[in-house]
Amino acid sequence: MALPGLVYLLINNYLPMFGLQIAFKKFNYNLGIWGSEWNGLENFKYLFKTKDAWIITRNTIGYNFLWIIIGTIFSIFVAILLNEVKNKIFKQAYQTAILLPYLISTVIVAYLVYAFLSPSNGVINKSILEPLGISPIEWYSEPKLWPFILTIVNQWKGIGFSAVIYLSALSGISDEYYEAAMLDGATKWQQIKMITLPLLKPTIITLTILSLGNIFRSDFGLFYQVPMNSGVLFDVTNTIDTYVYRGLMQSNDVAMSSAASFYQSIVGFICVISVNAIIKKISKEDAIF
Amino acid sequence: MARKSFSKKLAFLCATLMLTASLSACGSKSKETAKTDEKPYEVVMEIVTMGQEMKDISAVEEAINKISLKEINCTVKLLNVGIPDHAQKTSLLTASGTKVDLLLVGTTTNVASLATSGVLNPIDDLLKSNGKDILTLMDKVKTAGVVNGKTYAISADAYPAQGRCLVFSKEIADKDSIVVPENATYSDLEKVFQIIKEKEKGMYGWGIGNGSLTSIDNFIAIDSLGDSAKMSNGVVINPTENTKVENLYATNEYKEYITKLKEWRDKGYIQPDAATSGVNGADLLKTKIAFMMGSGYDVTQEQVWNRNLGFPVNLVKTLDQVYSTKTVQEIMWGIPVTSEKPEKAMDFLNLMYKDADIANLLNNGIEGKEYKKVSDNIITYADGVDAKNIGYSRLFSKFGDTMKVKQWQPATEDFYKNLKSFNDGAKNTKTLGYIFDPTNVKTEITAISNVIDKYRPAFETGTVSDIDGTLNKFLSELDTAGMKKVVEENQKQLDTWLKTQK
Repeated sequence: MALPGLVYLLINNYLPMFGLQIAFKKFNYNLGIWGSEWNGLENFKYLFKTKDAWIITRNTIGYNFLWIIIGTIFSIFVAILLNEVKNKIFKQAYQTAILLPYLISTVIVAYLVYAFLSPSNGVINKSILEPLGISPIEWYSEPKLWPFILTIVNQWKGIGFSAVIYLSALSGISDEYYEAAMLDGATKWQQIKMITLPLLKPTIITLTILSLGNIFRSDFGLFYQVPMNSGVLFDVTNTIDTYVYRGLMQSNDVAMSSAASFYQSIVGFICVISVNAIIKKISKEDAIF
Repeated sequence: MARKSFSKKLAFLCATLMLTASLSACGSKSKETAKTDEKPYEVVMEIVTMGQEMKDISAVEEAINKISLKEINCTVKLLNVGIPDHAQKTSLLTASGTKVDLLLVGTTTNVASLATSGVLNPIDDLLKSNGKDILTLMDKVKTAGVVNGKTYAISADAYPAQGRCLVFSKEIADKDSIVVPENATYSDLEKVFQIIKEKEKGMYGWGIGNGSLTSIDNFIAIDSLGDSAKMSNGVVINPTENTKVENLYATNEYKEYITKLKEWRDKGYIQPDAATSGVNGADLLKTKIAFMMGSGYDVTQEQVWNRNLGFPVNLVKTLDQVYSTKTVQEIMWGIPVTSEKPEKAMDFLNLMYKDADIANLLNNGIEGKEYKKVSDNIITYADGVDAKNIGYSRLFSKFGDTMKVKQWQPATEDFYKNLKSFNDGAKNTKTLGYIFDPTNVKTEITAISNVIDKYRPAFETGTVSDIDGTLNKFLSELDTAGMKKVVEENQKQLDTWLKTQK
């Protein structure tokens, strides 16, 4: 019964792996993948040689780490709240409302944000700050504000998805535990600390390890579109993906962009394996493999 | 039990289907042999437009086929590609093995990189054997597509001389009595912008946004040596006189220009949101938010802008027309390696430039359907047809010998005379034909591109408050990224190339 799934996995995920070699070749369309000559690590140089290399790596990993932590805390919080809602209709409504942003394209989100932050016409500058007599803020020229702005946008967009997963895990927790706890006089917070969180541990670990696999990747739309491609903000919004895009747009160099993808995947792979090994040492049953 | 075995069969069926589907992708590359010489060859030719559907495209193909079948035993299939996808489709071309016989090279793609990555066939021999007419016609500009000694593409336009100009709405200019002199200076423009500010509420004088390319090339003659979007390869200023390669962003001219732009924004001549709006000049002009922007300039531009913006425009020259590598390389024809019979592709290309009827069909569509004659060579929309519902129109691709092609109103019969004298009056840049090969400095250019994206939009929309300080930062980051190395490499290649020219 697993056969179609396995075949699909084989075709979609494993077969294309032979293309990884493009990252190590001087790719020539005419000679094709097999005929192009090898050029070692040449294609990787641009990711490390320049001064920007440190900034883009720091941004990519920094934001991802921060958001794994914040995201997990918030989604569990939201999931617990949702779980408490007894009315089925409201529960569905809240779930849908919170999941909706996840489905909106980031380009549209960029313009939604622009509607708020536009220097001359934005809601914040025109309808909030101006009536209060505060001078308008040039949102797209202040790098300091953007880690916060990006975090808010990213959480608004992504929380729904993880919350729904945690919610389904929560509904698997038997009510008996809670009833027993209430009889013992436990407060709501104690119940969460002693019952909910420990029983959610496997789900948390699984989702975290999966996110770690993508630690070197970033949501291109979020880092390119939402800041409206504003150059002033590059130091805080340039990630590996946007850097590669901006750098290779003119030259169209397939091998160099393959090298970037390869680098991201390899590091993600090492991350997943090592974290999983660590988890194995701590609590064996929770490790993924 | 029956259920279980049914789902097992279904699973097996799905698996087989997927495997077969994945195998089918392998099959498409096999070439067909055993084609008899009598069967007409279908030439697949790419035409680049905005990507919109054109209902009369098959009628045009049929009309062309009547002629081409007789002359060279070929039929033609027009492949409509939108310019936003053009670069991507070109790079995927060989990867997907799609048969294309004639490809547009230029605008979004670069002949040097297509040649070195093996997308195009070298066509020196084909031109000599099957392309005599187009070769003679393009004699002045035939070095445009030469990369490393071999020809990979041939110019599509025999009259590619281009200058620069300013384009603005005729109606508003007449209404507010605005006169823009030729070779306008910055202060001439400021007078114009002030009038717009006073008389047209909500409109800004200078149309620019962070979706625009650089605009300094409207005021200073620049040869961008291969990268006109970001000027990341180094540039030659006044290329009809000079051959010195320099970093555009370090020049005094650039500093003066961005200082002006900041003043303009402060005075209200540039839209305050320009740095983040994501739009470009044409969008702003079309929606009447801005009055004026810069553009390339030749005798066809007035027609093009009228149709593009939907209202009549005035064009005022700022820089004299020249033949430069960029103008001759702007639109070229190449024969990709996926063409099954390159000789037939060349036959058709040659016929297109020899035969006036085919050229007219490809440029203008069918008489009676798309256009009707106003005089011998001037045409206008056919009855009931306008810019919105026209069934076929050329936008970016160029076909045939312009001297033989009918022109749209407001052009007059003088057009051909003007075209000839415009081109005869054009100087050659000293760098005409030189193509920079960036392979040795790929890493540096990647870093430089990022730095340019970081600073340039803010400078050129007048949004930077501390010009000196920020400019110093910009230049030092360019240095760290390796700009000096790129400029030196470019100068070295240019000097070597100059020696090989007579």
